[in-house]
Amino acid sequence: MRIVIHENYGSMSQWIAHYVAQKIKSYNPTPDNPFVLGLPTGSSPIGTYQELINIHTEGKLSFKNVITFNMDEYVNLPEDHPESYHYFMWHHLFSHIDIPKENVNILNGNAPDLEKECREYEEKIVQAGGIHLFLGGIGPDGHIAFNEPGSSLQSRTRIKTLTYDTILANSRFFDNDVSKVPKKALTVGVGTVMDSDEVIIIVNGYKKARALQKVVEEGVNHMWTVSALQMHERGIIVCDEEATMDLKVGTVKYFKDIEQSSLQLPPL
Amino acid sequence: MEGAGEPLALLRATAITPFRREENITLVLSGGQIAQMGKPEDVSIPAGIRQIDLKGNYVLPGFIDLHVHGGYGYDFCDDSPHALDKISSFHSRYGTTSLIATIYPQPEEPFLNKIKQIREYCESAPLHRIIEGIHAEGPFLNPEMHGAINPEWMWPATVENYHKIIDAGGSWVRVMTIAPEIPGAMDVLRVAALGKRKVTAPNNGRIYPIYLSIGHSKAPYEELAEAIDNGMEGVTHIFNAMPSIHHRKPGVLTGTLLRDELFVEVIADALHVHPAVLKLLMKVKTHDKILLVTDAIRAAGQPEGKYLFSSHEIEVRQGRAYISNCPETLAGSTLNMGKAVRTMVKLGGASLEQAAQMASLNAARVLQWKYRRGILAVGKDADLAIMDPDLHVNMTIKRGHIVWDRENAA
Repeated sequence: MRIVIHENYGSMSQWIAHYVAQKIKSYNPTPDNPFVLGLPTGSSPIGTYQELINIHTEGKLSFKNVITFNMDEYVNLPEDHPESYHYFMWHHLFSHIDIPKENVNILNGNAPDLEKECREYEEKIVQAGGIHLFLGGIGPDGHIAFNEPGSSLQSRTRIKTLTYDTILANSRFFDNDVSKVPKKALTVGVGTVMDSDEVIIIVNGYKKARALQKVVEEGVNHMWTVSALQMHERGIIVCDEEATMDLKVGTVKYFKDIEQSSLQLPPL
Repeated sequence: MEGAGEPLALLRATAITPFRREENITLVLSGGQIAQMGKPEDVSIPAGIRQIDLKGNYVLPGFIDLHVHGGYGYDFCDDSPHALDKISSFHSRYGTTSLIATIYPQPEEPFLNKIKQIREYCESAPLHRIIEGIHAEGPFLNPEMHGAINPEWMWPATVENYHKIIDAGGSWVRVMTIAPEIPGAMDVLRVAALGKRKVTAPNNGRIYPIYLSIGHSKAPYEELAEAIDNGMEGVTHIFNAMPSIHHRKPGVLTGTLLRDELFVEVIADALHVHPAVLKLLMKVKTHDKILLVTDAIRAAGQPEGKYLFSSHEIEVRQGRAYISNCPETLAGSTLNMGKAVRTMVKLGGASLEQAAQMASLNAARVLQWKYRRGILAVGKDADLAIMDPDLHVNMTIKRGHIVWDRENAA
């Protein structure tokens, strides 16, 4: 597992966006052979999405032959609700780039048969040829997508009941009213993410420091589901300095040393 | 190269590399570095350069002393403009080619001014000066473990205070002794270990991570362990200014002996630490982790009598420096590095090779000079200590300059 430490959120976001753009470009995607990208929601990737938009606006990157799969979505929340992940993705990324609407895949939390929706989502990923690069975030409790502590590290796309803590935390987006927060969500599984050719986890801010420590310095454990990344052949954690606060100084120095030449922006 | 001495050839040396002992070695020094080194038949001495026959005397990597307060009557905390040159001239005659000027805590203004003065000296003096950095022995220490230091002059440990020191000294601040148990110290450790600057720092020059050493501390073992995770790498003058081992309440000393990752400074004068304990240290910490230091004060190289250290009157009798009226509290030493090497070989159970490593390479490692110093090999800095068979220093060479020569000494 690589750990790339950037000075701040801005330089981290810029680096990730350039890394993703470089991967897409060097793949040279065509309609018959598209690049398949997995994407997260949440506050961490917003800077990366902004940088991707900038790269696209400068004419250096097209998403015409990119297929995306998002990680998760609430159940029973209208797609145009400002807190839905559909809304989030179009607002923060898709509306500003040239991706065809039919290339965007987001789980439908309003599907009549949710289990079928999950099953078909996995099949669609397989039909697209598998995900080349999955971007993800991390929760303060080390979760990836809605795979909260205790989720199987081999889990697939499925319905998850949200914990009360998550509902409470998310109530800030729902008028601080716990009753308005969806109680269930659809999410890709840890196994779904790990099947990707490459995984990048974005970790920023002091609030994520403890989770990063658990995931990097301790063993693979279902209580910190991102730790499954230790078993991935090509997993990269990209973080800012603040998020390293709970790591040992020796760990930080070690990864800074071996990654010092990779901190420059990948050329486009 | 600026500051490099005239090319020089040393013949018939017994080289202590320090990994091996090699007889009948010729060294050619040029451009401030070891340009050639090997058996006479493998070395071609450039025509016309000065040659010195060492007649089998030892050549060691020049000594690096991480902990020096003074010598020849001067202290780094003095205001005298001669202090730095005088202290250098004392230590260079005993084989020291790099010394880290060590300053004890003082109130903010004099402390920061002193750091600035040493920095200015380092930036303006010729390259063959031997003062190569600053060891801040404090000011974030535990007042209860003050030893010979005035406890009122210690500072609260804050990142802001730490940055004041770095702003004054820049990357010349290379070593800091710190007590991790005082409030705020863990934050300072982390910032210092990672070489972090303030966001608003005036320039973007590189700040090197500082070598952090625990001292003047009574931290319990658990806090020592936490300090190691936060970047603590060493221990200042082991056994001094720290509690003895308590088998139910382990502290700094137990942690020092237990944790292999920690380097230890040892004042090897056989007065601060009994020879049997020097042998114990060799057994437990090994020659890979021991740093020989002098902790020399102004009384070094001076007659016996009374001297000032921090705000205490110090008395020196039979080489032993202690607080007047308090003969059990030692206050620095009158030691030099040549004698420290000799003591380790004659009383401390070390081979000359091991002593040479403890006097030079280990310090080069903690100061991140390991590619330039501490080893005799082609391409390394020509910093050398030459010792006679009885392990007294005959000659000291800094960056190819002979800075001390017993035969030609005044």
